[in-house]
Amino acid sequence: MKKLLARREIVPAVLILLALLVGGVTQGHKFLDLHYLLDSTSLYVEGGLLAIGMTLIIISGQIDLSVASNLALVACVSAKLTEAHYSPAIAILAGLALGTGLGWLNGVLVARLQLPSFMVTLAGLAGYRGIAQAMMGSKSAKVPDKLVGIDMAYVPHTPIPLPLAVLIVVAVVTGLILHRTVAGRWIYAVGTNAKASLYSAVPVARVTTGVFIVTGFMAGLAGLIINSRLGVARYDDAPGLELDVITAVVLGGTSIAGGKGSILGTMLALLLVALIRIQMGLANVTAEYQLLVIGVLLVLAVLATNITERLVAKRAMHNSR
Amino acid sequence: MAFGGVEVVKGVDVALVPGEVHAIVGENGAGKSTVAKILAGVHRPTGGTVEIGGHPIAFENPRQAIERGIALIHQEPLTFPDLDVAENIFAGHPPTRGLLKRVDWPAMHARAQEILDRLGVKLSSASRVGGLSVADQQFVELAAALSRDAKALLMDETTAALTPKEVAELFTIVRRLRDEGTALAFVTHHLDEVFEIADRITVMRDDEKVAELLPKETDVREVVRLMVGRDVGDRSTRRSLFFAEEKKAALSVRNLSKEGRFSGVSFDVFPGEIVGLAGLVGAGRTDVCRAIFGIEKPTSGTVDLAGAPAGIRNPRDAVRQGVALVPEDRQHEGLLMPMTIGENGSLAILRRLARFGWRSEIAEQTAVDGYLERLHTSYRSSRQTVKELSGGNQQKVVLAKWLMSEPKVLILDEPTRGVDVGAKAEIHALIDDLVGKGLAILLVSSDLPELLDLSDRVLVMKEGRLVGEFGRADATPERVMFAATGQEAHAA
Amino acid sequence: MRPKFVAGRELGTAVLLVLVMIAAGLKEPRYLQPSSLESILLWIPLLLIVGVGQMTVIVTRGIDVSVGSMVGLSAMAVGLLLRSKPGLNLGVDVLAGVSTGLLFGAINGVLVAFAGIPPIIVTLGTLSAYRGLIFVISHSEQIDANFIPAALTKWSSDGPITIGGVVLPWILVIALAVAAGAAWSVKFSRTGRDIFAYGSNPEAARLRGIPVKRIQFLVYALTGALCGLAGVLYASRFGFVNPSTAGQGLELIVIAAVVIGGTNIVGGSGTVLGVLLGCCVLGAINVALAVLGIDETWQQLVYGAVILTAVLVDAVVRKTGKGTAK
Repeated sequence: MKKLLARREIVPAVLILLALLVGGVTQGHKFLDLHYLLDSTSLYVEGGLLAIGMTLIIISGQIDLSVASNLALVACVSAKLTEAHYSPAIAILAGLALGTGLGWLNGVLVARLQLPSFMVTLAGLAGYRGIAQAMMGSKSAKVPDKLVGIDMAYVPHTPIPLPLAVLIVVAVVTGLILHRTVAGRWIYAVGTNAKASLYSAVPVARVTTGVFIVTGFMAGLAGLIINSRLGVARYDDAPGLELDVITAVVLGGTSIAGGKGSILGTMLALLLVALIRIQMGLANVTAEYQLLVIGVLLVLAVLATNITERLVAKRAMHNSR
Repeated sequence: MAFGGVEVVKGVDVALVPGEVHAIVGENGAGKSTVAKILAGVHRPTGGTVEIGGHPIAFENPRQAIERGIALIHQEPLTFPDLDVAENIFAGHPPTRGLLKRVDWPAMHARAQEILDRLGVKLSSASRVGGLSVADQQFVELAAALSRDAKALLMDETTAALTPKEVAELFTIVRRLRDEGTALAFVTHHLDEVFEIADRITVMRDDEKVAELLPKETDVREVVRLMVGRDVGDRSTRRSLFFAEEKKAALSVRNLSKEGRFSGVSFDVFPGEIVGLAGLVGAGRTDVCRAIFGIEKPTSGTVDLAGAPAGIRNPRDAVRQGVALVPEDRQHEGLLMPMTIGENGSLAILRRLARFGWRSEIAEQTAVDGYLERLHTSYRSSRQTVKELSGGNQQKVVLAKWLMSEPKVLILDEPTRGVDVGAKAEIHALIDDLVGKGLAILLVSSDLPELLDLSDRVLVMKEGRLVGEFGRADATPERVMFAATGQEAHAA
Repeated sequence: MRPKFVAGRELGTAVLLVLVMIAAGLKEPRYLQPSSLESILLWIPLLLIVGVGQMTVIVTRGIDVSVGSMVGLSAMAVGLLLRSKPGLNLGVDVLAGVSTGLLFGAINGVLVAFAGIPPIIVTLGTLSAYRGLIFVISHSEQIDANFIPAALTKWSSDGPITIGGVVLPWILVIALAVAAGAAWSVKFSRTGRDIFAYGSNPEAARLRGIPVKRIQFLVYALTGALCGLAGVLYASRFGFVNPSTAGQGLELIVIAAVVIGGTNIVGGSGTVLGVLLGCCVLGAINVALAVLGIDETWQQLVYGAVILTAVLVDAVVRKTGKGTAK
């Protein structure tokens, strides 16, 4: 039991229970309706996909501020392709390729040129969305009807919406990769101590580039899903989503310093953020108040992790005396 | 005082007298740097006292020491590269004028130039420090100490990175300061310099002070003898033949050079032999190891393995070809401290223990436990973090990691640093065992007895070049030390 | 005192400015008309004031992406005050704006300096938190033009001198005064020198007795205060304060201006003059895009490209070891 309590994921898990409790009490049966909750999760699938990639990035000691902009650009390009009468299959493949390519670009700049990731991806945050903006202006691009409505689709014979299923599958696969493969161990090692990892024959540059590529792919996938959900693509899709994503990752127990974290934690934190947002929505809290709450949540999450880490370190020092 | 359980310095009495240059000598790791750092407030002693003018004093941090007039000049200068010389000297306490206490640049430059002139250093107070040579940066650091009216200056291996010409310049300054009444301490192992500049010599060995002498009453040979001691181990129990059926060298280094660090290094290591690499700190030994292992690219030269060019571009290549390096900095290069024993142990060959990239905890644990047991490591479980282990056991984890890669060439850089006596003996036995099985071992060690005890041949490096080679029979501590400090060079 | 000279990097930025203006002017002569030049001059003050703060933050190896939100928050605070108490002396309103910025900058400072949280994370969080706060205090309502007194908007429309038909607005004068003060502090105040020493080598700074935590706190608090002042000028320049657009995206332009002006992103060096030139360049580009009929939508792309280019250039320059003492 003690070991369970010591796991970093306990924080979001507890908070989730709390949120459910509060929601249930204040909003009653509307909130605790499983179907309602499941349907509402469709809104957070894009964020979820990005958060999965972001978890890998932060564990490896980097950060990627450009994920939402990447998503937006992919969404726009993909929609524009169908508008130009390319087949949906091409539009989808192109979207994934673009997202992955942008991620690769980030990775190369950080890993090969040794530029700080927050600067590079800050430029990407502006740049990618800027290209989308330049392409689209304030107009929207229509997504062909064939591809719309993924959020209305369900896994056969279940109330689970398709996007959520996709997210869960991606989460499970990534979780397996992170915790059970060599690449996953390398990601933790690089985030813990890149120098010692290099000395231990870990391909540090390849790992760093790799996590950015994966995140880019996630952004591409998310861009396609958001198109299907909204039916139109705009340059300002998913504005500021990078913040929610980073908040979720940190809240889920991933340390900003690198070397620690898990997909499970991120998923729990996402669930928590989703629950909080749903609750706020039901309580008719405006988007801007929600923004305030999420921002404060990020800061508190990091503070809390920081403090607990210091306490743990202090106790460890005492024990070794 | 003690560092993490290993006592670093014991019962040392040292006095710094105004107007005197006091040299503290000893081999690498003898504890002389630690003494200087305690005096300068960088470390706090666990026992004994530090006194100024007869009054006991305890420094919480270096800043307090500086305020009391004690300054430490580091081997790697601690300067502000983006600022100019004058500001480097006066950082934190610039001269001010006026009601607003604005920084008085003309006064700062004038005073800086004054100090520089006083030292006899030919630098302009307006030059940007980032572009200066290491020597000049050290002069700047000296000047900075003087700007605080330092009464005692401790110089820690200050000459390590200087050319002979620069050393001469530094000594002129040192003499000047001495004549003005400053107390100077010089931590070094360059004995020729010691006899040139010191008024008094303290010799340290194995964390203790073994002698205090006046230069005119002694000579280099005696100092070396004191530094090195007589206990070089029972060399007769070591096998005197090495297993050399292979006429091809396992590792061949030819003309290896890296600008600024080492040049023209050539040697062979045969299977079944231990080649020891001796030299002072800064001689370039670790740099050579890093170049062979692929951490840094050499500027020129070749590395061949078993007769064929190795083409090592990074450590992964090296491991793939059977080369392993146990690095000198265990905490930052050898181990990932927050991770577990199992994670550390398996890190270098994860791919080999896995199937198509899929890891097997069992395979990893078995492998790690197996090797650790052979090394007689004491630990509770491979899920413990390495932080919790003692130095000796930590080193065994590093060794286990590399032995698992089944290397043909093993490079050991300070393998028993910070390791207790028992573990040290075990590691020595392991090294013997490995070499008996045909491994080619390159051993870098500042522990001269250890180096001489284990090596079949000893190569000596000095200031980036190979200056001597000794066979086992000819390698005495004195000869090796002489070569390392530039007294004489012998060929085997 | 050694003669001042424009160091290589600033010269490069100045040249860039001239090139941009010439290129745009050739393509579209309207660019060099008073009206568009005045637009440029109106751009500069906000960027400059915030940019000076951002420079000190970046010099200490940090970053502050919450500046846009802080400017908006301060502008809104001022707007609310103007609306609820129109009779107050403008000076009080200015004070209110600056204090608001100072408060929120101080929060950033505490989290970075004393809680040890990486600046990118802190300011990313406060970027949202403060933006949300703007909506909270304004109840999501805009402060309309009729509540912003002419006395304040005059600062943007009028000015002390007119050159060749172009008015030099008061807000620019204020900004230049602030910049001048900052330039003086950077050169002559102990704190200013401590900031640069810390950025150049934090470890050495600590050993020399420089109060490093205090310095770190200070630069974020100062930036907040400057954002506060910028918020007042924002109200003056635009004549209304909308909770979702006030200061939105400002951080990107400011960082681009600071970086283009030669401030090293890894810390340790930067000049106020460089920031000024960087602001001019960005103002020039902005107006050029408008005059050339290029959609405003290219802006984000341009800023992103600018930041990336400047970062790359600095990385290359650093590798070849050039530069001068700052």
